[in-house]
Amino acid sequence: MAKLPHILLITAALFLSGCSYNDLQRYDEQISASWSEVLNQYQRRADLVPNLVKTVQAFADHEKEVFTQVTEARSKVGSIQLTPDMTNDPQALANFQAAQSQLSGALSRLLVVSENYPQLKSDGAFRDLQAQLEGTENRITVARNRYIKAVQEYNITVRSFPSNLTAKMFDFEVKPNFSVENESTIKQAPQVNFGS
Amino acid sequence: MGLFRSIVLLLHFLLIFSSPFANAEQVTIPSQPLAVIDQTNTLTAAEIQQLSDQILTFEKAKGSQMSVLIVPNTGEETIEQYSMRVVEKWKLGRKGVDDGVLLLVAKDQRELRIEVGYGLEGSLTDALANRIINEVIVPKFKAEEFAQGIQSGVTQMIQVIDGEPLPDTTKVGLMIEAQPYWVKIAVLAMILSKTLGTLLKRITKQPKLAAIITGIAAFSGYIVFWGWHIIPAIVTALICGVLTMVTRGNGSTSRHGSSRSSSRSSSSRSGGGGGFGGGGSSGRW
Repeated sequence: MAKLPHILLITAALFLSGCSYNDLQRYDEQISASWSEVLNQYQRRADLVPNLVKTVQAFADHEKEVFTQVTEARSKVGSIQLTPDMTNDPQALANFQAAQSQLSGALSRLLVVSENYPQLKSDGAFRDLQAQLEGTENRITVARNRYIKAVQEYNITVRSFPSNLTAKMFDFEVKPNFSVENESTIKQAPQVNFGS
Repeated sequence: MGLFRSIVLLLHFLLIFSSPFANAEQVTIPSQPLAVIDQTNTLTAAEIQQLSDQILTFEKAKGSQMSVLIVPNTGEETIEQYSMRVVEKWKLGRKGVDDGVLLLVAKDQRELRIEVGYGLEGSLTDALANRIINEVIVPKFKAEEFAQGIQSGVTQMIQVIDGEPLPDTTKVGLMIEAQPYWVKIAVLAMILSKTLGTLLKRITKQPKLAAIITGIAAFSGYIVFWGWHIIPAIVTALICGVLTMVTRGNGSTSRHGSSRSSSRSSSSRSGGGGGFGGGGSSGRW
């Protein structure tokens, strides 16, 4: 009979930490919060584009193709419906990623083009915009990494024993994550060619 | 006997499942966020002291925490990746205010970075950080004048941050939030065991029962104040329980947890819990 309080205490402690219902809730919230941050930073980048295009155009007006690409990529990104359910739908997430990396590619081509114009490169306003763009790209990377970690933490809890039992009970499902392949192409610095 | 053994076993069980996996190939981060850390012997002791004094004086006056870290290289990470790891570990700047700044120099790879906390992104913008790097620091670095370059950069950043309105430095609540785990555990355990513990002992006349109840109260108290950190909460509960059992219930109220002064010697410093989002700028020379 003296063992009963011991057993109760241990069961209670195990249950508290092992059932992980609160953990799942918390991780789910973290995913939403970090997703908002990702969207925020991508939006910030999209907002920089018009100014960037205008500044480069002032010095390199005839490079029409690059400007068209950037403007098109930006409107494509702007046209994606941001539904709250996006974090649960792998297809929506993949589409979003693809559109954003198209914009990344277009921006990187724009910067490569601007390398050919020394007057543009030394323009203070352009330098500032470039700094802002780099800062925003870094913020995007940080936000994405935090989102990826949040989803990983959540998924691990949903899949591990014994919290997967709780997850099944309350309909917590594994969530899709950003794929890594785009990360490697984004990280590559644009090749600067002074010859051609 | 049986109860305590079970709890110890449980603790071991929990600890095993919460151990982080360290990536052995990354450059290690210094354990303490001192004002100036130079791993390359670029700066003389006098230069380090002067910089450190400038930074710590500014911290006392304004609250914002700055650090200068000079490493030989950032290993297989980019300078941005390493910088982010450093500030996430150090948590420079005050919690909630996020007014931390890191000036990171990777000497052998000739790169540097200014990492700006959330709260300072409005004044120390990416563009401004970039200008400080390219117009103030890089020219001096190119001329191999590293101490002067860092000095001028720090002075510029201080000027910029000084212009930004930040909360003043005397908030006690922020100080307790930012303390490391063991301070929170000690304070909570001692307060609860002295107050609730002695009261229960007197009422129930059963030290063990009083200890258990006070322990549970300490556990819940920790979680309510500081979030779902199970292991520190359990530790608090255990310490509180033990203290309740051990202390004599004669109502002595000697105050233990005096407020910690924020001035520390330059050989120890802790981050204030500030957050970073990746703002700032990098440069090379």
